[in-house]
Amino acid sequence: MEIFQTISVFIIAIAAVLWLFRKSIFPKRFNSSGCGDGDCGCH
Amino acid sequence: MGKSINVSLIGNPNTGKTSLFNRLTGLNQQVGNYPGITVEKKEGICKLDRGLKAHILDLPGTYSLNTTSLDESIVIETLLNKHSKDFPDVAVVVSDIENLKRNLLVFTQIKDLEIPTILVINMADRMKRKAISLDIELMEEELNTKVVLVSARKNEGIKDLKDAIANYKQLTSQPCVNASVIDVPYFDTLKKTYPNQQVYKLWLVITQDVNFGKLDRNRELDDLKQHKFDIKSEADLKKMQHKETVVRYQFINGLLKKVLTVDAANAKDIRTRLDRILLHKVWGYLIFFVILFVIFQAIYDWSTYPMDWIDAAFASMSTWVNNLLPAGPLTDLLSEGIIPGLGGIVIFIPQIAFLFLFIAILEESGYMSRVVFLMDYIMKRFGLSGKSVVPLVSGVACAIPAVMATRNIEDWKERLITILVVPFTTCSARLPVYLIIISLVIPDQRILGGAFNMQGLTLMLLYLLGFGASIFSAWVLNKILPIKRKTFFVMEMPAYKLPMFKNVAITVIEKTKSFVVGAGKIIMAISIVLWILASYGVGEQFNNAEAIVKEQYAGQNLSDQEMDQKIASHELEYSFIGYIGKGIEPAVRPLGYDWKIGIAIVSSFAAREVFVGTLATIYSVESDGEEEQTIKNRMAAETNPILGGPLFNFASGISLLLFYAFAMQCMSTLAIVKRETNSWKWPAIQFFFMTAAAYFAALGAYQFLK
Repeated sequence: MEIFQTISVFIIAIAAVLWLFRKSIFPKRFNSSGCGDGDCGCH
Repeated sequence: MGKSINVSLIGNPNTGKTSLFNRLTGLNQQVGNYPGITVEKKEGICKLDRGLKAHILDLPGTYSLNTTSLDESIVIETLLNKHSKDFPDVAVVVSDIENLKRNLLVFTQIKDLEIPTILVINMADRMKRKAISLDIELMEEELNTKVVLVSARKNEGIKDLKDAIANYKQLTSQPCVNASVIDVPYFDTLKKTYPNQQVYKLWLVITQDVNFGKLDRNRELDDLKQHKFDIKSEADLKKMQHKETVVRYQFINGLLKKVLTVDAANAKDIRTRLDRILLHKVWGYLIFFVILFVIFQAIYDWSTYPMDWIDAAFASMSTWVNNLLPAGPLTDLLSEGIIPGLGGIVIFIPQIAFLFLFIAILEESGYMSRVVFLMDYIMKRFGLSGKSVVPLVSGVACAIPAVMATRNIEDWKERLITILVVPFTTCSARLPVYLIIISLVIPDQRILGGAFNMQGLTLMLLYLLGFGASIFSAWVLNKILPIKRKTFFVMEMPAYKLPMFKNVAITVIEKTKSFVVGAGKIIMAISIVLWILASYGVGEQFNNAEAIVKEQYAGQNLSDQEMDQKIASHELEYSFIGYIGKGIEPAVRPLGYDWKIGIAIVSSFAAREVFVGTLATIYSVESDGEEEQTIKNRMAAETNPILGGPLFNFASGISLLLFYAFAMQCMSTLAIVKRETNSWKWPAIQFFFMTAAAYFAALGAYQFLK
């Protein structure tokens, strides 16, 4: 069970690092109207 | 598949174009009862009868087709470029029943472009109250078009408008004003030179002084020169433009005399009376400060209970997950990393929602425009025009739309200065940091007979500090980059109205959701990385932490719980994050922070909201896991490793508040500043200047108060 948990943590950690890396290197295009309009790209 | 037509919504700012757009498309674009909300075009689909679909384009507000700013040029680019995929089959000009005279100017210009045009008169529900009557049939006859009365607010007349759009082929594209009368020989020559071209389009291309993006204006001008057409000097063209405007207003005045009647004696107009008080040189400011005061008091008083419930719920969830799942790293990651990290953002939902509720009510009621007007008076003294006020006021929600809102400032230097100072205004991302620090270091006391809460007062002072910092920086920048040409600030005062529940609810829900979901994703990812860095390490001190600590405290008779706590602290200190934190510590120690706060500051350079989540994760890893602890309690229990006593005391708390008030900790804002200035130079200057200001303000405050 511990092995399963360790592997899961390892996969989650890699995914988190890759996501943060992608977000900072290839940021989303900001759309028109500002914060609060769903996919505004403010965060 | 049904046929699709292009429909452009055009009109003066604040005539309700976006409200109408939302009604037609069923979308929820942000609306506000003040000008300048729409600075880019927005698109949506509206289903019409007989399987016809309308591709609706909501264009930025413009007073005429004589453009001066970037957002206005989007309108002219759309209308002049016949090859564009957005070129309208039909233009819908939105006007407001109370400002028809000014609104009709742009209508007559669009009619001259020979585009089928519908005139929408919005806010028609106010006609009775304002004792206004209109002869619609005569108006349609005089304007050669279809006129539709609607109330986007009350969802009235939308069906009629959809029918008019569906029957757009019946509309005549015949102009209603003959602009060529301003210089008949000139226009005749233009027509002879280009017999197949639309004369008014050529006239607009010649007279604009902005770039058209995809529309190659220079190519058109070169073409005119090749045909030996005398374009005239800029001054002569301006004179002709003025003449054209006079001719158009003469036509509009004549028209309105025939079709419009206002029975002033029967109008129940409270607007003038309210404006007299709310825009007063003394009372206006006093009332504004009282409103601000009430808002910040309410944010504290109303959200205490839900905030405590959420905090306790996340603490219970961590314990529950820990007890439910088998022991192991994944369980620890969930209970010590992800759940406390997310708790650090969800806890602030009540305050964020209340803040946006108040902002939405102020916008919807029409009061925000009065605030902009009042601020204009102050801004002028610091070298900026009122056009900079709209971005600064909207920066209270988020700096990104505020930076984009600077597009309606014509002068480049003035626009640049506004872009550079906007991030000083207190955005909603600073709110979580302010709230948690204030609750730790400012006593929850009431002053002046129990009327005012000290914590609410501190929060209000921080908002005023942000606004003060932005106008002071603007004044300094204005000395360095003097603005040669001050822009005129023409602002329409919208009518007062009761806030529409739907619009307020949409704003509150959408903005709160965006805050939580947007920040939540980053916080979850950062919490995972931080937990890994805090839970693993290398070397003797980390691997044999238990033996080392037990040996160190061998003779002190510590309880099991105390011993577990010491081991967890020792492990954290020698984990990966401990080493990184110790590297940062010399830089943050003079500000009154320890290495854990240093880590939280560094991680919050991605986004300010991450600060609380980071501390929640670090303190959670450090705890022994036995006791159910809320974020606030964990932070309150932290002690200063060198001086002893609470780590978050008055001096370090004020230092942190000042750091966050001034620091440029938002990657997204830097990215949008780069996009709007088309250079990395300005975001780099902004970042280093604001970070330095934050560091030295925090340093000064801590050294003075400690």
